[in-house]
Amino acid sequence: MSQIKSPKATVIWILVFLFPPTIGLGLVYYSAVQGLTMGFTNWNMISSPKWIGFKNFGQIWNDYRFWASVSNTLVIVLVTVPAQIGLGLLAAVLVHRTKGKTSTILRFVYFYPTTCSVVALGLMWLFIYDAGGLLNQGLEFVGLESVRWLGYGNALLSVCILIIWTGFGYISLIYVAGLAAIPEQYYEAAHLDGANSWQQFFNITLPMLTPTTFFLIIVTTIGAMQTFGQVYIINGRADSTLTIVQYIYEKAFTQFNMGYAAALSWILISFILILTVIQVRLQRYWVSYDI
Amino acid sequence: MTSKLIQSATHMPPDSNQTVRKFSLGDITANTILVVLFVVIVVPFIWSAIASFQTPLDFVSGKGFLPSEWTLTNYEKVFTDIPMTRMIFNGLFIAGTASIGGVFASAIAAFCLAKVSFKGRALYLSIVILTMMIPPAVLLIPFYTIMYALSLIDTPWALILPHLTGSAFAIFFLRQHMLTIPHELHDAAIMDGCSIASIFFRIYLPLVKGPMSVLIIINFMLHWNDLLGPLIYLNSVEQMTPTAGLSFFRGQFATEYPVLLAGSLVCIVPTTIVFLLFNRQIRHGLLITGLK
Repeated sequence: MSQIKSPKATVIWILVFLFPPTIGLGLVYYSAVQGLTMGFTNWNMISSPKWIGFKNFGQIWNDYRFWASVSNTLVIVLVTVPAQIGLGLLAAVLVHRTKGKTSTILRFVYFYPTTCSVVALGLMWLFIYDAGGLLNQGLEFVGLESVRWLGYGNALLSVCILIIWTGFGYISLIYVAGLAAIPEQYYEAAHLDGANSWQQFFNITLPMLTPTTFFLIIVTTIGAMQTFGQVYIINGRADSTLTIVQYIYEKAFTQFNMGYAAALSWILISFILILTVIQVRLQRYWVSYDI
Repeated sequence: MTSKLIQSATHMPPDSNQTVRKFSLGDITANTILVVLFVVIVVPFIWSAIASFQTPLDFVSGKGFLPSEWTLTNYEKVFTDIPMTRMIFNGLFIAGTASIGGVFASAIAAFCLAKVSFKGRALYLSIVILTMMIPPAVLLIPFYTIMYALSLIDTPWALILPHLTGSAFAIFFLRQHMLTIPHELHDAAIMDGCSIASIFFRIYLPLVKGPMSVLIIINFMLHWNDLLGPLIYLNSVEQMTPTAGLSFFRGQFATEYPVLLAGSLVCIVPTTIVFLLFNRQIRHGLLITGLK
């Protein structure tokens, strides 16, 4: 490929063109190093940071709120990732069968919550979960007892429902594209061999979608590990919905315990990294890139 | 070509087969599930919309689906008791400037890295791409301290400036698009003595308008919906965006919940308009970029 040649005129332009990203690179790399070292200091933004070695990590180990946030975050991951992907796949397979206007409307509506502000959706769902809200009115209508959706034991599950409700449309959008990429001939061949729809689904559709599923599991897990907006709004009593990111936010920006919060982000990143590595390692057992 | 022939040849039997058993049990189940999912998505919006027209009295009594009296008081309160006009302006300013400015800066850098040869170009590109591996959570606190040092806390610039440098992903994404554009286009321009800047603005910018607008639209929605950033950087009510503002006023209006519902619906209006206008580009953009 030939390039623009006239060095004298271009050197200045190159500097001008690359000026914004170069500033950005400086910021990001400086911050990355600062973020890594800050975890080993004691800093409240007023006095200068003091190097305290692994003391933050020792404190975190004995911090019951930290363990509550870890357990809540893991519950969110374990519940919402499979549920979103399962529901998203179901919706995608069914939407894929529809045609014309119905198909357009369904795709639009299923995806719509993903485009909305988490705050707005959270406030809407707080109202729905309310003691006399939509869900309980519905339960009463069919003659069941009402549930305390935001009570201590239920709040985390209510958060999960909100996340699944918001997010499955995105999953289904990606799956619909994956389904469209499967060659029609495979189904025709299977049909001629006498395979029924279920056999076609389990022997063609599902294996052909495994690379998409793998991508979605990684992306949704990373997203769920960093759940913040939903729990910030729903905010269950006594840390019942406290997540890791919410705890970092609280430590850093309401208590200004920057060193401790930086150490917490270290731990969050390690968790995400470990989960991702495990998933990448496991993919060879179930993801098929060629059929 | 052959596959097309096979398709048209084999398409007849299954098609005619399907018309015979059009209303099988499977189809009924499938359509029921589609309708149930549709209702589950739509009802919370309709329910909140109806409740946002309720009088406080109706809301407290908590019975019945339709309000006994339709009122606009809640929406009036959203704009008088909460400075929502100001917040919407803040949100539009931050999301608009950050997304347009950021994508524009990325496009210029992408052009430089795709079409201008200079020493160290490959190295520069890899340093840019490497930043995508750094988790945002690690940058949260250091960025705050930088903005604090620059005394930009509680100004929209704390949220805008970090994005005006362009993003690694956008640079990489737009560079890929520019690489596919044949260089014959600018060869002639160089002959005519065009400057490198006018080559970018006259030749390449118009050719990457499509991918750029996809990035701008998606980034606009991400910035508008962002909660963590505004919560961290904006303290005073006059500076807040609708997302941060609504969560701020939540406590005050706990007993007047319909006001919060009205506010929530106001907050999703801009993204809904953008989504209605660019529905196709957004869905296509999410597929090709993998952004969420």
